[in-house]
Amino acid sequence: MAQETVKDAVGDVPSLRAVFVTAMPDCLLYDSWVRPEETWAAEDAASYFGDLVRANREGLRALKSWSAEMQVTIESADVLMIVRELRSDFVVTLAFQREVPLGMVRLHAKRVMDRLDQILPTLEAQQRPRAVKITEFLEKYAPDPHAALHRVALRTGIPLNTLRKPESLENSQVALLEASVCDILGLESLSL
Amino acid sequence: MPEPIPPGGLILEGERAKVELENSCFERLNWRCTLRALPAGSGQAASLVPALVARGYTEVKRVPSLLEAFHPDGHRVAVVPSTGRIQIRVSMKVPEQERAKVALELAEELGQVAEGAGP
Amino acid sequence: MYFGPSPAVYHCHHFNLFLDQTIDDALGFEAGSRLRFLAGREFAGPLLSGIAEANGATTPAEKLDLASKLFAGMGHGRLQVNADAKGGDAKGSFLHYGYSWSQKYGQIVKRKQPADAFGAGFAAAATEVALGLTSETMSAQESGCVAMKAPGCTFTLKPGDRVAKLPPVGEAEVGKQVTPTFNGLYEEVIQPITQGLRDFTAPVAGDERGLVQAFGVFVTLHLAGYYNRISYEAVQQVEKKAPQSVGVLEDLLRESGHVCVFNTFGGILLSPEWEGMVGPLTGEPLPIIEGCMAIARALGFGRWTIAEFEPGKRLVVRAPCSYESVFYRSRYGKAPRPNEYFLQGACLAIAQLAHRVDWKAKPMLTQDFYNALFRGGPLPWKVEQPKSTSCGHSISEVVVTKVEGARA
Repeated sequence: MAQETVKDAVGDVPSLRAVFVTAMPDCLLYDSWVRPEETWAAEDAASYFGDLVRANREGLRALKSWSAEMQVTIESADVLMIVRELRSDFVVTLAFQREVPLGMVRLHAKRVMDRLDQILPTLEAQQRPRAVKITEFLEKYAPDPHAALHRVALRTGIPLNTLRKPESLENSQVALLEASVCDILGLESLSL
Repeated sequence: MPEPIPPGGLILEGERAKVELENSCFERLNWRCTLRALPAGSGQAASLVPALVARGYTEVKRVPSLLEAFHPDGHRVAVVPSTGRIQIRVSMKVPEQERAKVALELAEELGQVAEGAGP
Repeated sequence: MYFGPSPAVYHCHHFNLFLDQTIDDALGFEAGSRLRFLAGREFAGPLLSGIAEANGATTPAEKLDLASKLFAGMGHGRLQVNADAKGGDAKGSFLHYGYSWSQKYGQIVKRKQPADAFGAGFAAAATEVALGLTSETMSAQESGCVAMKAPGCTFTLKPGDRVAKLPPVGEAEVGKQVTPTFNGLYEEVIQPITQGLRDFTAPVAGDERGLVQAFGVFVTLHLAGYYNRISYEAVQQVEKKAPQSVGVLEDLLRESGHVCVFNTFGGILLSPEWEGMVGPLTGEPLPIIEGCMAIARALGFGRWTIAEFEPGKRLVVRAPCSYESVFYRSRYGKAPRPNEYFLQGACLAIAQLAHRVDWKAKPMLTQDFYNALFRGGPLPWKVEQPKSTSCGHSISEVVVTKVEGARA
């Protein structure tokens, strides 16, 4: 964790409700700050923002468009979020109060991102086994997530206890796992 | 397809009433109604039904412990006399994206009835 | 419970969808949907014949019209069959399986296969009965489905799909397996609630779409034979081809019961009708357990009784038999092990409803609520079935116990 903290980087922005720092490419929560009166759980949300940026990048690639400066703005009824890649190792999500004008939000976001760029370390991307990433993806996006691994076990014939330790799967089992997760999620492939 | 129901549910507030989407009603049909003129547990909710009948609703006795009145357009108001609970069930004929608005309109009408105000 | 000549039971869309999905997960979509079609066709036939005879329907047009009305009245949606002995087509709108799948999963997952194999089976049987054709010979294939974002559901019917007939399981066969009922604990509470529930579920009926939306679920009156055939044949096929997967399949069959009871019984407990009849929920476990026994009886699941209940620790439910065990004994004889999966899953759900839901907070029993409650590892309650009338025991008994040291 950096000596100057995420909280230090954002403390003077009263309209900011939360910051989530997601480590890429594995979409794991690295750090966060949530205003005390909020009820958000950072670990529930952070990985989805990593997936969002990755999916956007794929979409832009499909349009033969690429930008190092890609930023996604999400406006909902009660929150305004800026999601941005910070180097290749982090995605930073800033959640603002909805009523703040967009121009002001962008100004705050740029300042905060510059500060975070100074304090966040350079991460060496860990090479996590693909099977681990697949089972995490399944648990995030499957309908009936509590039963998802059972469904994979039934479809593939891989014992449930083996699936619970995905790092131990053999290559042929990983291929079966991936195919069944694609079927369950209705996807052609998994962008992991 | 209408927007998904937010995780915290749906609540609409009017001048005389509040409606909250009832348990797991994913078609936005059933709404719990709270009337500002009728405090919870006041025991006066049962008097709503005869007043609704006077306004053109039809009372139907299907379940002994529940009072039900049906609006000419097919909406249902159910009152539990023993607890004062009020549920509005919007007619299926109303498009889903309009049911919240209709539920609140019905609730406001109930609020008027509760206040003893005229139509 | 019987509907006309056919053993029948009420089930919600949660159960129907999860069970069909489990069959397809176990056998693959092609074999799974084939089994579901065959089961639908087998058990819809006798129902349609019996109802046609009882209603004096004699011409093909009358019988097909009656079939459509029956389908809608059972909460399965609108199905119009237009076929003769050479085949034809059928069109469905608001079919229970496809429509409820869209409602429950359509915004989360893309579906690549049709969902209405039961509707296909029903359409095939309706054609056979209407035209006096040999039963279980017409095929029906769904080519378009709302679950796949088609505007409606469409089926193609063709003759010549004959299969070997299986031993029948109708009223006569099931009647031989039914055993005398008995009382359990707290009957003085359960019995009046059961009677009251029968009063307030009686008016529940299909809407203009041919769907029954009540207590927060879509309800169908369905054929017990359909459920039982697809479940037990799937287990038998997996036992032969992938025996290491039988345990997981049985877990998922139990989960079908669990998700059904949690949502349907929970929905009834949260309804104004319940509040009027029984009073507001206090949050104490015993009234929930008593209420659930009454609901099970009123919905035709069987005369479930409380044999033991220690709040926070143990629940033992006994029944003289179940719609599952009477089928199994009729078609296959004695089972090698207790296999009333719905009963097991249901009792587990009842223990969870009694202990893990904050009723006074008037919860919304949404998919998110269910996922949050049941994710994150093993459940704090476990279920076992030491006795089953499938195996020849005199009663069926399910024991649910709290896992020591488990989370709340």
